[in-house]
Amino acid sequence: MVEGIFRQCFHDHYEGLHRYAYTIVKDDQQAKDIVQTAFMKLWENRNQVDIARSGRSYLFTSVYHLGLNNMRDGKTRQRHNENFDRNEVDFQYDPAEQKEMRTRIHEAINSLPPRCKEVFCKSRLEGKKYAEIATEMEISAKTVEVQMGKALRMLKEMLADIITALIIAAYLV
Amino acid sequence: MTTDSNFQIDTNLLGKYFAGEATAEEAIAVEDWRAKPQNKKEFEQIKKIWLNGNSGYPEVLVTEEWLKFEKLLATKGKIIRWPYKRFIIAASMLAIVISVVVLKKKSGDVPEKTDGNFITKTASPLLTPEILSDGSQVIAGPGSSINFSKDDYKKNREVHLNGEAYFVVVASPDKPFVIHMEDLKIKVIGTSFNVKDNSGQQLIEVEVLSGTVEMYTDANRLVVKKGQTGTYSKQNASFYLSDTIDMNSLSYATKNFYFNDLTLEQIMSYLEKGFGVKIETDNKQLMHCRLTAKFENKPLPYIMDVIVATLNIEYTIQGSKILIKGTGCN
Repeated sequence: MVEGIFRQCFHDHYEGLHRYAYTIVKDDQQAKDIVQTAFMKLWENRNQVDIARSGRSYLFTSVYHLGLNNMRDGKTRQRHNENFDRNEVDFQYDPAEQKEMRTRIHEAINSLPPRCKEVFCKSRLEGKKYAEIATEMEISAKTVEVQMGKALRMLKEMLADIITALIIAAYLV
Repeated sequence: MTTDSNFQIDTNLLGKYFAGEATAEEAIAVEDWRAKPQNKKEFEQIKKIWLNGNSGYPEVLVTEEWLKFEKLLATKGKIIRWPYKRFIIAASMLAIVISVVVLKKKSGDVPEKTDGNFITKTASPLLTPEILSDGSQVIAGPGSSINFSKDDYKKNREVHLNGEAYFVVVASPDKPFVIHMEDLKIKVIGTSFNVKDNSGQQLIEVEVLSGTVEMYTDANRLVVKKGQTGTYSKQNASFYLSDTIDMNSLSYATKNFYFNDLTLEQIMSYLEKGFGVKIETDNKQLMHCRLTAKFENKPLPYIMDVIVATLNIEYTIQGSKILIKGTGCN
């Protein structure tokens, strides 16, 4: 009985958990390992947890902790930077339109108001945590959050005309 | 952008999410929000901007991840009986074409034997399909044979294969169709696929034309979907997956050929296999001639006529041998 519920839980939530894990560790394989570990923990506790009701929240919390532990490990920090490098390497294999899109995005980022841009770049390009950025810029973590939100909102507006194209590209991938 | 949960989904929260700063509760709220189609679009927009125009990671295949998890459990010494029905990816195609090719040393044709219950179906000269009791069809390739027990087949659809065969399996979720080839089993729910054993190279290939197939041994398994070829290496006891199918190697069953800028040499070998003939030429130069053509359910003379007309060469038929002559090609 519980095996069936567990398996259903796996199929229902795997993708979302992987998405979340990826945002933390920024590495596809690491993210997969983390999600597998989270499910294994749930499996080992299947008789203590009401999977149907609390399974999802148990799993997301697991992923949160596993992700943070993974990041505290110095190796992940380095891999994190390699990820950004790999993104740049992607560049040469892209067709012309993708290159143009990339240029547009870069320009849009450059045109953000200074503080907004600084926060966005520290987070997105330097991979710094909100807490670090707050300390460095001597602002509150909440301000960091708000500035990031503002950056995304502005970028979305600036890139509205090519956004559809970006989405099509996303779905084609 | 609100949801039913306690969180307001706005770009602040999405920024936190993509930056990897979201708590578990926040991530769940984002997932719930993203589940609605109109929000998913916006999610993907912001994700694309965040990824700087890149595509992120390759699509996650949950079935594969599940198989990995099962393996993980197995290594801990636990074999679990999973309730199968609800969770199988619905392969609702009626016909499964499995081209399973096992090329063993040609030991001469084995005549069809029937001792009432135990049936051996071998390749008929015309390569016509054999219809099984449930409506499934089998076309055994040249020099190949299928073995099964008639009574057993009604209860659970299991056959043994020697060589190559093209299967069209009727969907029946309660009774999976299983093909046995030594230690490898190929399970089918409803699909079209071809199974091939390159014994010389110790490889077994399964090409799936429609639906989904599961190849497995005691230690390992691989799910092969439409348009993919799964290969089992007997030496390494491991599986490989490729996203292509060699359609022309299935032509003996499908009667369709798709030659995309192939050399005459390649075309000749596909035609030889597809029609069970031998094709020779006295001018080796001709082997390098290239041709692009599609033939669907056409007889061999027709195909030869088109080829020689296109390449400006000639052919003659002597029994089951075709001779190609010419000085060169256009």
